[in-house]
Amino acid sequence: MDNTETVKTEITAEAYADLASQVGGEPTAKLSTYSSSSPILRSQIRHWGVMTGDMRPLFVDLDYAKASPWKTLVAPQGVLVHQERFDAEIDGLVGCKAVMSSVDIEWHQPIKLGDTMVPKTTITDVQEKPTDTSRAVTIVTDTAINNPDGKSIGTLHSTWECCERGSAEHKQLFGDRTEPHFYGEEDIDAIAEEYKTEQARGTDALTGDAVNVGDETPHVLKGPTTREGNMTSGTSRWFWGHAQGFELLEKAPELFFENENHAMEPVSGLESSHHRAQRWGGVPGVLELNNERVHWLVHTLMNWMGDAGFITRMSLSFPRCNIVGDVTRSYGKVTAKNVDGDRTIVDMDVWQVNQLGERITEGTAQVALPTA
Amino acid sequence: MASKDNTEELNTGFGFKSKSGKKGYGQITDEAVNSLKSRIGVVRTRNLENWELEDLRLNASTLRRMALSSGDYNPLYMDEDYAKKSPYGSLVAPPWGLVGIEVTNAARDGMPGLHAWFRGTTLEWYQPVKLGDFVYSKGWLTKVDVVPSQTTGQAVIHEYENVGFNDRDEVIGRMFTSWHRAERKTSKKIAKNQDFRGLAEYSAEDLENIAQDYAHEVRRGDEPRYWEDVNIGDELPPVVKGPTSQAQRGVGEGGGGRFVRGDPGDWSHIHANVFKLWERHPGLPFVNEWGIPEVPLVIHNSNERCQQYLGLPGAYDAGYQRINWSVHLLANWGGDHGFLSKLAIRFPSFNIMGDTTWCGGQVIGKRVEDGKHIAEIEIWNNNQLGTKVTQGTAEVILPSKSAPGEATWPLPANPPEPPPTPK
Repeated sequence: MDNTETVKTEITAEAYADLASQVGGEPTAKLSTYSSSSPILRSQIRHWGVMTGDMRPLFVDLDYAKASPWKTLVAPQGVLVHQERFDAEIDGLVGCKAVMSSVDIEWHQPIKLGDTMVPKTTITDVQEKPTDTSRAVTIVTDTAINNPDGKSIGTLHSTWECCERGSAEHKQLFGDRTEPHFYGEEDIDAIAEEYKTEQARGTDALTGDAVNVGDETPHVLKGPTTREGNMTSGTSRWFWGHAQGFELLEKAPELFFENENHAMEPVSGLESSHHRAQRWGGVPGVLELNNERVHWLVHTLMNWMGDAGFITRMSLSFPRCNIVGDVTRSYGKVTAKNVDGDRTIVDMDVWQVNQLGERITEGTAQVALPTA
Repeated sequence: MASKDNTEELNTGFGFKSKSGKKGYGQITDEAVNSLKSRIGVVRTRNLENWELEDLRLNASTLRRMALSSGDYNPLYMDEDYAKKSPYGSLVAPPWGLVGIEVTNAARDGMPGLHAWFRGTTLEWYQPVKLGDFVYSKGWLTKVDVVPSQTTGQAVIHEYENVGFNDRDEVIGRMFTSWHRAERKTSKKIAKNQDFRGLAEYSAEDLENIAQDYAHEVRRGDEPRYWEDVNIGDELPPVVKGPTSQAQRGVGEGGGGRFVRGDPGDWSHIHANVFKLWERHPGLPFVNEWGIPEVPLVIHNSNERCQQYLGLPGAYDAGYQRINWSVHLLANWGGDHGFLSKLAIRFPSFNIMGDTTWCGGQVIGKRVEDGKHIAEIEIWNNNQLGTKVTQGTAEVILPSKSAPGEATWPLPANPPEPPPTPK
């Protein structure tokens, strides 16, 4: 027997009320477990470099990094986006589809080798959105990331749009797209050639006096993305199988769907391939995770600034979702600069465009450069 | 223009259409076999630098993730207070972690473009890996044989030996692996040689029965199982695993997550890095249904792709998880005082995504050797159809009533010398 019925999950009134009752406090980790904070290892920084596709020597070469303004290896600044101690899909509204729709990040100091990040997340707002047929919810969280002494490393302000899987709202995330993007061999060849043109500053850092309003960054290419790339990131909290899977099924049956074996599987399995998403999700494919785009913009700004530059703020909104297999190009343009002693603060517009020409990200960033 | 209408044309399966790589790519040729043979006995390491080894010291979080990934929530791996009172005196790694000493294997060594199937492995443990240890290893190719095959005409068997050391340079164990290589176009013939079957299907009653089997798992724990109390013919309490699923497999095969270096062979290349890989090995990628080159590993993770390209009922496991599950069975039976010293395991049949696996064992012999009291065990894994998907033997050193407080480990182990490299 072949089961092809679209899997639908439900955001119940009780689940919504429970989540809403947590506003102002730390979220209850219903099913997630988080490792305790520990000093950042050199191999961890390298891993982040590999997984974001940015292997600059500042992340992977200790001798090089010691000679940099930071005197040691630093982590890709985008890792702050993963410090939120809340997972809407398995803690907030169990089984829902959650998409990050916007994020505001502030960096107060570089994240260096040996630093320990201690995150604390607070749910700041939970709002039900009016829809015709299903329940959709917007969740806003604030995360403060400090070092163990309480000194701020940065902050994260995230907005998540949650919908019921298999609902019209879920399908709307794909816009008018009906399938993943197709590539011919000439498309792949062109992408391969474009990768070879990437320019990255390093020790020849950009200085504030060389920057003018209207300057544009060289763009950075990412993709076509693959599921394998996502799965090897090793950050999964969907960590159940075997006996524990059965225990979890009793505890949170709303997290499961009936798969091709007529066995129960966590709904994350719906997103293990386009085939499965199409078969059961009732959607064109698997969506990329929007928070990865932060890394790609960080890569773009780092390529432009060089080692001495530091991103102080980024405010992004994600008006469109990408489907796994898409290509993303990231851009930046200077909108203002202010000299502040030996530092120059530069304000920028940043944006991202997929292979269809759709602007999938809009936002602003602020960076600090040495003035001269 | 690429579009859905020419999917057939885009989806070449393996390798780019216009760049098939070197002549002979994906074929068993004398040149490829001889090239591989020239590596016999050549010692290989992972080239990890000292700082990387230091970073790999096992902490409680890593041990816990290893336990979670295999579904073996033994407190020896997860509960520091409990483990301190055990014979080990600290948390230890699940013994199956020894597979991490594998330096290389046939999936990424020689004859590029050929399919690789894991035939089996023999693992030998000499001492446990404890909290705070790091492990490094050396490995070498021991054998390359071209053999006739009823299904594919010819195949190549290659075998490896790996030796693992801890941070005190003590040998912790060895791993011997055996691999079958065949041209990918012949994979469907290999599949046809298996009993034809579809994906597993379960009724609510089946699932309830599996849940009950989980509920009845027996872990010996801190109660010693004395060698004198063991009888030939004793059956080990079974351990059930599955039904496996995409969600479970994501962590199960990853061994609990790991740092990736982005080196060739670890399949973690993305963005610009992956395009460098394709330039170097244009015949390597699986060009997927949307024309995107991906690492070939993705085929065996997908029911649809295994059905289309390999003629299998669905996605299949590589075999490593069955090692973990068999170790779970043996650790449950041996208890905290027992020490698993050897496991020889073969994979005669596929384990398909969605299958349920019952791990079983029976004592087939007892002996005392060099003062160690050893139980010899036959092990097997049966799936929901009753098919034996794994078979093998194991040895567990048990405490003896004649010396109840004596540790069952370590075992003497000399670093074996690799065979001489052929001229």
